[in-house]
Amino acid sequence: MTIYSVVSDFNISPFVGYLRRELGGESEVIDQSNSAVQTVLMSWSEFPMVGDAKVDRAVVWTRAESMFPSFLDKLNGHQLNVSKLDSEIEEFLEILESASENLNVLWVPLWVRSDFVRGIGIGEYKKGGINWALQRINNSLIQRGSLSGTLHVLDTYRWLGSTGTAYDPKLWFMGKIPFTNPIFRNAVRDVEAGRRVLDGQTAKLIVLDLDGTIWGGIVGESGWSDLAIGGHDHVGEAYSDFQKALKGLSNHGILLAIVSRNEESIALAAIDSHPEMILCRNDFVGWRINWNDKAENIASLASELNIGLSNIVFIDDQSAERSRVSEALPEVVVPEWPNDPAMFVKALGEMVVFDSFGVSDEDRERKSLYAGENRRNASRLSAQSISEWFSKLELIVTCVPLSQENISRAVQLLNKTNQLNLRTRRLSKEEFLYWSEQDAHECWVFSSKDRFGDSGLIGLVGLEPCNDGGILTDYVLSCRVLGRGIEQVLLHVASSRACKKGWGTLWAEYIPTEKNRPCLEVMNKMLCTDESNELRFFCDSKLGVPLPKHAQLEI
Amino acid sequence: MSADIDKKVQRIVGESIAELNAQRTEDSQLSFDEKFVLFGEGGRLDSLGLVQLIVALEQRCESDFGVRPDLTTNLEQMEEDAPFSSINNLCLYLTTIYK
Repeated sequence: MTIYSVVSDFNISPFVGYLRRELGGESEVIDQSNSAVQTVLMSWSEFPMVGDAKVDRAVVWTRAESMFPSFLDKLNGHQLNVSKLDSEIEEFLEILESASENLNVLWVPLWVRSDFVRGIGIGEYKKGGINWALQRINNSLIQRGSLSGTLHVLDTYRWLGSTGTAYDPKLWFMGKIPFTNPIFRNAVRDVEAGRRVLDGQTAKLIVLDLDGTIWGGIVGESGWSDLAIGGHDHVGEAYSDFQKALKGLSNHGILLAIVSRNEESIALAAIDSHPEMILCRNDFVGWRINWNDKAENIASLASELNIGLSNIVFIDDQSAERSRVSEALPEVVVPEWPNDPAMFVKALGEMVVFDSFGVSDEDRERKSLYAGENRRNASRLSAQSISEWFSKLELIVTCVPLSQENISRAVQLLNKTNQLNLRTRRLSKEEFLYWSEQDAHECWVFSSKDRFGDSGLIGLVGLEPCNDGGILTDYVLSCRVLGRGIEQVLLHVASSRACKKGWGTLWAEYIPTEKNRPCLEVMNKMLCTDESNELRFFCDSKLGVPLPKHAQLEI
Repeated sequence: MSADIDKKVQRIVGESIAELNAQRTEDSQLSFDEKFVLFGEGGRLDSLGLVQLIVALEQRCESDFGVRPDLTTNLEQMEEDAPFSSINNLCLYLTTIYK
């Protein structure tokens, strides 16, 4: 059970209601809007509790006039005391940041003017004006959030922009609710998007149809020259912008693939030849362009790319195809898709599955990592045997301790990996570093490369002592490198470290989830099974797990 | 004309109830049954829920009829036919305003 706390200086019950409905029964949402905000936050800097429950995630949504007395003075018509405001901002942000360090995540919506009046219009953005002061407060928050792994800013201004009426005076005067329901619904969508990031439920792959989806027209009938893409035409421009949006996601590490009912040669010729195509063949990590069932094609692509179905989004303009895929592959995210191409970018932008707490270099390079993977797979198919393929792979695995240099990517891997994850432990950056710094705890981070390319940071192993030896607290490996023997390299390092520590036995306890069965198969293959518990595995650390012959290990 | 107003009012009340239900737990859902008791003795709405319903209704009435009513004027009325005592009374009350 994940505990969410919502702390506010106003009546936030509509937001709490929507959030409870969105998160369902696996989470508890506690409304703390009746408590003094600063008091709650200061108590969390010791330990974040509400009653007997430890708070995991929190939203702190306040009005600027309640948190910053100088701002209230300004609203009441006094001259803004900038230095006093700055010290109030500093003090409150210190409290926020300190509270966030003991949480999994703390979301703070940007402050907005809650009466939504004009004031003195353009003068409010001049130095000392109300809007000028608000921007100063918000900029400080954004600055803090950008440096923190647990304090995250929510964009209230975007919610306002997408909502007709944000404020209703009657709601405020009678209920002390400063926003209308659409604002709260938008806020819940953003919290849900953040939850997906924390729980590893974001999209990794967008599977796209072609005709009517990334271009206008039917390529098999009209040929590529008559397709609607770009040009001086509102429909073509809409498709062009949709392709740009997809390319943007691709550059942030979301992979693209094609599943289309077409002749492959004709469709690929269109991608290669149309002068206004934004996406090119290299932007797609795979495709199934044929006349087969689309659900089967998606399942086959998922298997080829080693991506879980729940991390796939399928976009198709045809409702019958969407319906078929939803029915056959319920885990795949299949958004309702507008008929009008002018709405495609908006529909894509409103999806909550592409969020991330940041974009790493590896995210940006993911496309080329998969291109290397395609070459690797081709070589595997042409090899006479798996041992011959291994021998020609020139695999080098590098292993380094967890550090400030690799913590961001390591945490991303820890929180995103579902299939090859022994215990599916989800931790924030701060929590993971804190854990690794405890006496006798160890965390090793793995990268790999071979003659087809550099796969980057692909795995981690966490170890700590237990009553009768040592235990694997984390065994995490990116599924895209599965099958190259790297899974054995990780266990070799873990058993070697256990031996060095004097732990006679290395234990591994598999905690099943809906998705981590591949990890169980690895454990069954590499370690001995405990007779009393088939989910518990061990090895004698002196004997250890051998290093595969084809792998070179650099520590 | 009169039938149009009846239909509009029913839609407005239905949508407003649905808006509140979206933030209420499964076991505290409001019904659109005409005898369903909203507020007062045996009612499912607390005072905050009533405020939210009033605002949801007023906003939709303004959007549909062009004039925002003030639905707080009869809140003190405690009789059985008070506007927020049941869905039926609420629909009748709104219809009377716009007829």
